[in-house]
This record gives sequence, structure tokens and C-alpha cells, in this order.
Amino acid sequence: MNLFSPTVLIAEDNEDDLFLSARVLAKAGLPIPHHVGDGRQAVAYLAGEGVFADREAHPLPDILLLDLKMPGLTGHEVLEWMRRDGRFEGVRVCVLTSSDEPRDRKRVALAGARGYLVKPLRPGDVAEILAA
Amino acid sequence: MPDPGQRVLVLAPLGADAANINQVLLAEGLETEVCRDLADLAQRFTGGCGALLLTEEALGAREHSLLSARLAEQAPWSDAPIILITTGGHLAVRSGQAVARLGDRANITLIERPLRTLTLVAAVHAALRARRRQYQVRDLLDDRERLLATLEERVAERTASLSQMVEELEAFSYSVSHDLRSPLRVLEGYANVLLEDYAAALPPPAQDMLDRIARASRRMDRLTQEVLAYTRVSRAEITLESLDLDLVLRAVIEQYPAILASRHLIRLRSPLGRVKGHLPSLIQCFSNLIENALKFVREGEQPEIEVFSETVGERVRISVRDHGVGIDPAQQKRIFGIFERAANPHVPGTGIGLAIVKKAAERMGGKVGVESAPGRGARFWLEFAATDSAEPVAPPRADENGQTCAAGAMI
Repeated sequence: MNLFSPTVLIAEDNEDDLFLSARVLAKAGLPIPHHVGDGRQAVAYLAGEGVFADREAHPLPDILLLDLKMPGLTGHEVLEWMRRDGRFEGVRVCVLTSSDEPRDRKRVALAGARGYLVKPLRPGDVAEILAA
Repeated sequence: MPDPGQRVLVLAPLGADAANINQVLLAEGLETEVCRDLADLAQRFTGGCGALLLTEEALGAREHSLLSARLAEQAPWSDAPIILITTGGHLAVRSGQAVARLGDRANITLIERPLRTLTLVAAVHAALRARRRQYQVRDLLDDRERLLATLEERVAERTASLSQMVEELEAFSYSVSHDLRSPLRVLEGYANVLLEDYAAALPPPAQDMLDRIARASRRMDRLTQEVLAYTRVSRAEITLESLDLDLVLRAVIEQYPAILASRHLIRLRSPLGRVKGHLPSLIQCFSNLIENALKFVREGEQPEIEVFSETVGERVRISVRDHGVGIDPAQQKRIFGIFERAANPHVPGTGIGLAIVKKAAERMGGKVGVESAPGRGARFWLEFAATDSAEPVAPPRADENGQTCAAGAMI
């Protein structure tokens, strides 16, 4: 991973949250993140399927910022799918969610997430994401 | 239809015995059925009867088992009366054999020949009366059985609806924590974006208003979080263990940044002793009490907090005492209720902290209380069962409920 310009994918269904998170990443000097709007798209993006087949335009991310509560597939399901698939060990998953429910923390830790952040994303969080 | 439970089954194979007996009983207004043989009697017996009236000769050496088997099969409440007419005299030994053949479950009254009408009628009446009692017992047992069955059904229904309620509550609080907080975060987020990126274009009153919007949404967010913490304390599984209170209090001071910053104002009177408790819940109780003690100071004064313990019978009472503003006696009961606050609009708070303390203490089998007077500080105490220092200790560890982890901490 290029520490100075890592490829970031944000899986987030809420446009406001997307705007606010992307703004914090931009202020921290990171490149414009890629974005998917729900869990199914996240799976399709990672697998390079359909509209995401072009890896030039849709490169495999170094960091996935993953919302938990999304329509279609939840963040939990995406994470567990990645874990089963086995091709995505190079993708650091950092959950970025509304709540710090203990059961969510436990479940994503078991599924191999590297970080758990509670929204809103703050400038200080970015360093942690990069170091995770 | 006549009640089979009051009929007298008659079996008297010799001569005119059966006809004579039948006539006497009918004259008494009793209901009778004359049976052909033991097989017929045994068959009718299974359909219910008030009494059996047999002559000794009816119990042949081979067929008696037809009846003794039916008698042995009787329900526990049933003890069918048998009136056995015997020959008596020097032939009494034969009667003894006949009685023995009918087995343990035979409830026999012997009437010796020569037969007297009065004796026979009295014996039959007594037998029928006894039998009526038996049927009453049967009905009571049936009622009880039915009641028990419906009771079990009702318990099962209640249990199902309770666990459904718990599930709905879980789903509700999950949804509160995810969905209700989301718009608040967006409100605060955009207010901050405006303040940071467009400050130059905004006159000071507009900036102040945005600041208020951001603060109000933060406060609302804190409220939802604390309501969630309260429901979590109410429903979380709690296992009790022997805990060293000195270690617990040190963990509280080290894990809470706001408390750590004021640690020089907090005096622990060690040793505080050991109690039976649940570590995350105890940490939450003491952090709430100490945060309150730090908060409610008289204007311009430094808080001064003392934590000490005393033994009360089999229990340990741990107090957190401050020299702050104190609480009006009228309010002291109320402040442990959810959303209740002692009237002091200048100190921020949600009115949930003490409700969490009370709920957590109760779930650990403990008690909570306060002694205070306005202007003279307050002493909040918690009381738990004391434990022996010989019991194994659990060292303080990271709170599994995530309550002491700063939001956003990396795993």
C-alpha cells in the first residue's frame, strides 16, 4: 500500500455521511475515495464484477471504510463474505458506523475487521486508519 | 341414561341366588345388572360400577384371574367395593382362598350365609356410598389435571410473549442506536462544515446559532447514548465474582479521562475491601458517582472527593463523599429515577447517570442511597455483599460492553 495515497473505498448508503466522511479524508490529504452505496455493490466492486470489472477505474482498495447498516447486504455480511472469499486479505477493513453496540464490535472483530470507528469520522481517526 | 357408577353387578351362579338378590335390591330402588359369568362381570366392570356382589361359588379356581386382573388395573383413585357372600362355618377356609385369589387391590366385605335382607341391603348401601366418594375424588383429580394443563399452557404462552418482548426491545434499542443517532450526526456535521469552511461569510450571530445547533445535536446524541446504556444495564447478563474495590476504583480513575485529570482531587481510603459484583457494572457505578461529585461543586470552588468503605453486617458500604452543592432532601428519592435531575440548570447532564447506578447496583444484588443537605455536600453510597479475600480475584480488564472505551478506538 502506498502510505501517502492509499486507495480508499467507502461503502455508505447515506449521502450526507458520505459527504462528511469524504471531506475529512480530503482534509487529511488522502485522494478522492471510491464509493459504493450498499452492501451488494460493495461485494460486486471487490469481486470486480459487472460495472466494476474495469480494475483501472475501480482498483481493489487498500482501505475499505464499511458502514454496517446498509440495505441489501449489511456491513457484517460483506465482511463475512470477504473473510470466506479469501482474496481480500490485503484490504484493511475499518468499520465506520453509527453505533458502538457491543455486539457489533464483537462480531466485526471476529470477522477480521482492523478497526471500528463510530461516526462522525474525525481528523484524528484518519491516522488510526492508516496505522491499523 | 342411568349412571353406570351406581349400578350393582351381581354374580351368583347357583340356583335362584341371583334372582333373589336382584329382587331384594330392586325393591330398595337400587340399580342392578346380573352377570352370566366372571368374564361378563369383568367386562361390565370396566364400564364402571358402584359395587360388585358375588357369591363364593362364582370365583372358580381358574376364572378368578379375569376379575383380579381388572381390579389390579384400577386407577389410583378407584377401590371398587366387593361384597362376597360366603358359606361360613366349617367351610370358611374356602372363603379365605376366594379372598386371596382376588389379589391386593380387592376391597372386600364378607357376608356369611344364611343371608339376611337387612344385612345385605346395608352392606350394599355402604359400598355404594364409598364408591360415590371415590368417583368424587376422580372428578377432583380430573379437574386438577385440567387446571394444571391449562396452567402449563399459560406459562408457555407467557414465556413466549416475554421472550418476544425482549427480542423486540433488543431490536428497538439497536435501531435507536443506529437510526436515531444518524440524523443528529448529520446536523452537527453540516453545522461544523459551515463553521469551518464558511466562517468568513457568516456574521457572528449566525456563527453563534450554528454553534448552538451543533451543541443541541451533541446533547441529543448523548441522551440517546445514555438511554441505551441504561437499557444495556437493565438487560445485560451479569455474572458476579469477588472483586477488590481498590483495584476497581483505580481502574475507574485510569479509564475515564475526565476523572483521571482530576485524580489529585480524589482521595481513596484504602483498603476498601472486597465485594461480590460485576466488574463492568461496578466501574460504571463508580465512574458515574465520581463524575457527579466532580460536577456538582459550589461556584469558584475545587471539588474534594473522598471514597471510603465500612462494613455493615455481611455487607460492605462504599461511599463517595463530596463537599459540593448538596441535594435538597425532597429531591433525594427522585434523583435515582430516569430523567430526574436535581434542579441546577447550570450543570450539564441527562438525568440518566444515577438511574444507571441504581439499576446496575440492583442487578448485582446491591443497594444505593444518598445522604445530603443543601450546601453541605453529598454522600452517595453503594452496598454489596462482602466476600472473603481467599476467593480468586479477577483483575480489572477492558470493559466488554465497550462503555469505557472511547468511541472510535481502534480494535
